[in-house]
Amino acid sequence: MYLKGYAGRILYIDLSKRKYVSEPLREDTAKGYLGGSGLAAYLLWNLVNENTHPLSPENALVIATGPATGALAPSSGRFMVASKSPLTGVWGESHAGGSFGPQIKYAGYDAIVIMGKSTRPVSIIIDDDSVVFYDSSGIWGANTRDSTNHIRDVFGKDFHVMTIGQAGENLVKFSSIMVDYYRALGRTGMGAVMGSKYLKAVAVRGSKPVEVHDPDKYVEIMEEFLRINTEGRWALPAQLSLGKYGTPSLVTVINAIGRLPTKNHWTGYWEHADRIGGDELLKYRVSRGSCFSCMIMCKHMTSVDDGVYEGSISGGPEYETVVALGSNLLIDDIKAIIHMNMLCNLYGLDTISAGKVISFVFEIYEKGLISDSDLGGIKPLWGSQNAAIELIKVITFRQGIGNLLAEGVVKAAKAMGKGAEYYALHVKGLEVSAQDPRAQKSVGCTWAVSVRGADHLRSLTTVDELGYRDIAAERFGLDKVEEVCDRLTEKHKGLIVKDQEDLFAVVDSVIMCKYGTMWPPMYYFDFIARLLKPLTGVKEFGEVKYLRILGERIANLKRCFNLREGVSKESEVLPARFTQEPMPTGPSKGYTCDLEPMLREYYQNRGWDYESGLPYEETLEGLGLEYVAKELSKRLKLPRRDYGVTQVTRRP
Amino acid sequence: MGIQSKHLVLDLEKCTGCRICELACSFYKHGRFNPKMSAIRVHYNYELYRAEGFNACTQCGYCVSYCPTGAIGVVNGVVIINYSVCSGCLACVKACPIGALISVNGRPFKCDLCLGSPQCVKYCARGALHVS
Amino acid sequence: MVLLRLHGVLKEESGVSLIAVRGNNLEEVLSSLPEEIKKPIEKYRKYIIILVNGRRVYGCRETSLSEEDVVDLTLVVGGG
Repeated sequence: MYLKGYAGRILYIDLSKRKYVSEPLREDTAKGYLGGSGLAAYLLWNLVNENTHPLSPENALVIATGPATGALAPSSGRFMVASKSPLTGVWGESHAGGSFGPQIKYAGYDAIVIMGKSTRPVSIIIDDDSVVFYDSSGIWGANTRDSTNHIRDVFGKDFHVMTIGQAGENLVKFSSIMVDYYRALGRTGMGAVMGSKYLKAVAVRGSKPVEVHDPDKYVEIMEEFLRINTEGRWALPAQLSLGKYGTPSLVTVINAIGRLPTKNHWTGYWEHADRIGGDELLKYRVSRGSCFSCMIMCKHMTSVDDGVYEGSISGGPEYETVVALGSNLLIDDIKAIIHMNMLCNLYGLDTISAGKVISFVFEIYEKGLISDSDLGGIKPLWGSQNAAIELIKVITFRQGIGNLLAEGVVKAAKAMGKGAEYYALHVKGLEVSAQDPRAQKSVGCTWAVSVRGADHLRSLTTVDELGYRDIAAERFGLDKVEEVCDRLTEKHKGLIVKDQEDLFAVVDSVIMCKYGTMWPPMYYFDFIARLLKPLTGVKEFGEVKYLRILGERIANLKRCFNLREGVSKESEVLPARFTQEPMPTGPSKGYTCDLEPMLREYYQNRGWDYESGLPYEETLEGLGLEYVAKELSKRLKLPRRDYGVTQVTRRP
Repeated sequence: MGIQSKHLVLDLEKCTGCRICELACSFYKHGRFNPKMSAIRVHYNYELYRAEGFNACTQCGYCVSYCPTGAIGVVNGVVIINYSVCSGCLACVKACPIGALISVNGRPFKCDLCLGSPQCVKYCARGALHVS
Repeated sequence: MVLLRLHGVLKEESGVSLIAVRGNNLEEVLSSLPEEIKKPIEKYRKYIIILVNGRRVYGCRETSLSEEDVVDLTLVVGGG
């Protein structure tokens, strides 16, 4: 392949046979699916299907980068993994920052596909063309810091490592993979996929260059990147909020709009939010770090130097963690949150899902739906740091009640019965993130339609969070500005969620960080087009229209992946708490979320039929996804617009 | 020679390990992206999130006398390699006391302050780099 | 009395997180603030987002305020 930017190769690893081979990345694949998330969707569509058990040797773990990874491009140090999720049984993906992604490119690969299962614990050590299977029985049982240190001690400090901790080894359904110590491939249980393969870690180091098609033209993009981050209108505010305080700068502001999940999302406003805000956390900051090739530099290390949590030092906590383990549990001690963040990082546990499973336990205990004898001595009272810490441990090690909770909030609630399911806040089995659809209606649409489940990262819109009128006018037109920017109306939200989903499909494939595209809205399709063309030499990448179609294609492919799994529109629902319980307190008091109008508008814009929940065949054909339509037609009858009447038969 | 005239200085407190300096250098000097081809290399500790050192030519001129073809000279306080005279023996690379002279595609390579306005300094968004 | 809350760098540079002020509209409230709060507000004026009871407002003079309204001043921020 002569496309620049790309490494041009995919590394396939078979853990059962302990064999590996590198295959070329085809040009038409790169042009059609861009890279990263798009490439992963294309690969997984062909590698697994509805009969693949997520924890079986047949499930594939795809690790993917994009053409901009390793190049000097805005926030382009991120990479992603994708697989069939052990937690939800459907599309799973997770992204992480740090500096691991670029090393994959420097080693000469755009993606790595891992299949099979090792007979004993192993780590894969990739050093340019060399791939070593390193016996890891000695570090099986180690936390992520120790396993990372071990591999770097043995093979070299310039290796970057992604590893599971005890949670992934124990197949906890929401276990994470930790990268460069503190960066999390957090959600959808990717840690359990590695655990099921007896794969402890993947380490990589590379010495090859990333080539540029037109260096003279590419310089312009680099200079624009620099200008935007040092002189542009978003430069100073980005540095004074995200840069200085990190993502926790959001806590008190989100509370001010009444959207801060409090007490298992019972309400969105907490009087004590300032105790866990970004400026409170600043007191425990010890250093600041950056992802590879990023100028926002929002990562921080925190440390507690005295008291009962002395010695707790880790990267983060980020906004989602501060909320999930803070206001969500009515825990107002930032030191406890720092400690729990460290535990989750060491064990390799998704802080978002863990926090929502714990708040579920707190609430059902309060409501008398679970007894003390079930809990083995843990007293899950609101605000109890000890209970939260204990639950993190028993979940990781599958002890007592932890064994059930490790299956995720849906299975746990189902086993308990007695109405516990009402308090299990999820969509499609993925626990909800740190937003509330009652205070920001578009969140309801995002959670319902997202391929991972209740996920904020595939299409969370920020134009309506606080209200950015000029961005809204630019992207959607002056006539829509009022409603688009009003977070408390459902109007136009289906449209903006679909637009964001297309944008993020491209952003997740380039790969760029959303801090930079979501907020601050420094970059949009046009910039990405101007970046990709001189980098890769692909003429079509330079056309916004083409990129938008690319985004649509990737978004549709993932939705079709889920359709093949048997996911239907019936699963695109929100927990009753958000549609039926009016927000009880705070600035967004009284509101509920009405999903239907947003869902209808989203389907209409997606080119899918709302009644059946299926894509029109013409939509898939128009995106070059005929092969997908053909596969789906073996299982479902897809509607066609030209029949006039939508008559579909669902599979039994 | 021996006089530390102009050379790159990295403020370790300010550095966040983004490596954009290395990418900028590699791109401007070699037209591609590869930190291993950069004349400046940052030693960043990912476990503790702090920069612990950096490596770049201090323009000390120690290598000059080790070159058998006389390809290395000093111009305005900056040590420059004349590639049309360089034989590729890499004796200078072996001689450099701090390992700042590296081999890239068989040729010796080092920081020459971009002969005026260093790109790494320009691209450091935190202003952590400057020329002493 | 209207409650004024400051976030992030505005809170840090003024030393104030919460203050009760009198005023019938936003302009009155902002002009009656003590110097130590006025300074960072003026410094970051271009980037400040104003929320009244959690809803963004765009005009200073026009925005009338009632008893117990909450005004939040923050530098632009967003995301999840």
